[in-house]
Amino acid sequence: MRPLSGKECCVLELLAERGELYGLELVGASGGALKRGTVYVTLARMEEKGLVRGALEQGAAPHPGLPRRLYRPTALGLRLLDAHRAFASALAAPIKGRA
Amino acid sequence: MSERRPPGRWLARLAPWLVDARDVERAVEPALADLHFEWAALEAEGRGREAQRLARAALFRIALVVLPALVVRRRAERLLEARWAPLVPALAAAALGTWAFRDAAPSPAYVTLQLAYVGAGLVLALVAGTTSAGGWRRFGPAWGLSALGALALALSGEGAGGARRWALLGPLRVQTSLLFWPLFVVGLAALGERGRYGRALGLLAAALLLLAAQRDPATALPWALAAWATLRAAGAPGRVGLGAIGVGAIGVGLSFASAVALAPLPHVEGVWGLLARQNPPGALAALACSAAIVAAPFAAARRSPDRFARGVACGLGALSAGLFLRPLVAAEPVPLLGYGGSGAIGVLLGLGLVAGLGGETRSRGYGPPGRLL
Repeated sequence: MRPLSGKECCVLELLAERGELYGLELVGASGGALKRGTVYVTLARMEEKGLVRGALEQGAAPHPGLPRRLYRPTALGLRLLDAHRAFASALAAPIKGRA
Repeated sequence: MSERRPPGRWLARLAPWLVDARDVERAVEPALADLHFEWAALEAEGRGREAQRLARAALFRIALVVLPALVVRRRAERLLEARWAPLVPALAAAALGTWAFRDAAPSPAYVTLQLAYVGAGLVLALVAGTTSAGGWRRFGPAWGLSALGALALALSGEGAGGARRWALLGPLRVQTSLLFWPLFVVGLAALGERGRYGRALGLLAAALLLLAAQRDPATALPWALAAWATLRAAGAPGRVGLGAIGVGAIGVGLSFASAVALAPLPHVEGVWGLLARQNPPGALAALACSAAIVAAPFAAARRSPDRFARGVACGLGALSAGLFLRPLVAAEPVPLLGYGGSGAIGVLLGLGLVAGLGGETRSRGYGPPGRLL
């Protein structure tokens, strides 16, 4: 498994915090880290890797048009996020014997 | 709530033709669904103009950013998946031929031109090898018709000694029967897989009539052989194979009846003889390269359980066999080894197709080889 990219990490952070979100909500919640043009490609790639699971909204869509896709993290995605966080904090920790 | 239709219906219809079905489901449709949600909210608030502006921007974003990103990503994946090994003997043959005949060619730009042809062929091979089998299959009949169109185009092109085999495409003079044969095979395989045998035989008959009009029997024979192999490998029953042989025999007979003898050129039609006299080890190496080029499509076909892929690979193998073996018994051009861009580009395009189909088989972990014909 390859390490998480910045965008993947951001998506997983948001989903881990809020449970489940639509693509557009992810863009809004990311504070500019995710863009409307790339978030869907990122989510499709993450779904293929098994990091998130997408499902169509339940019941009839409350708006005309296509039903929205709701994303939630998978167990694998959450484990990878934990590993990524641990790795990042280990890198940030001061090395013993150095200032 | 407004009764207006949600925007982007054209994009929802167009996307499946451009990207994989799984990308449509996982990326394009969610993007459109979120757009519909936002658009409906603005419409409900009576902010129609703003809703239209939002829809326009979102659709541009999907068409110009999301779709190209998905296409590039899938092509990059297939580039790594494909089995590019069949291109190695082809490049070796091209290098050998270019080196061996650099002095025999009349044009001082011989080496440069050959390298340009091989470069163009490699680019097309990359495009063909990174196109999914589904993409080829979907437009298969259209590819077959485009090959027919190219053959017809040559009839209005430049002639030589009574033969009309070459079409002028801008500054380029191409022999359409040598350049477009992979597309003919793709068309036949698609029709054969769908069980449209009558149309497939019609496509073959039309191609052979056009080759007879071009007065080119030496090319008609490999085309007929390839049609039989393609249809049988794509799952056509024995009677259709017999039909292909019958149509092929009539077409090839017509071609021989209308044949004209063109004066052979040593570096085009006399390649094997010239090579055997000047450089016997080189001739053996060239023969080995040719054998590898012919064998590669059949090896890919044996690994594939997909009838369309098997049909395409078998047809390409049969056509390559015809193109490379016929010069051993008659004064005919040899693709890649001898001078000429159409043959070189056509062979490289065909091998690119084989590389892509072989890669798809590997990525899906398909197992033991099966019966071919």
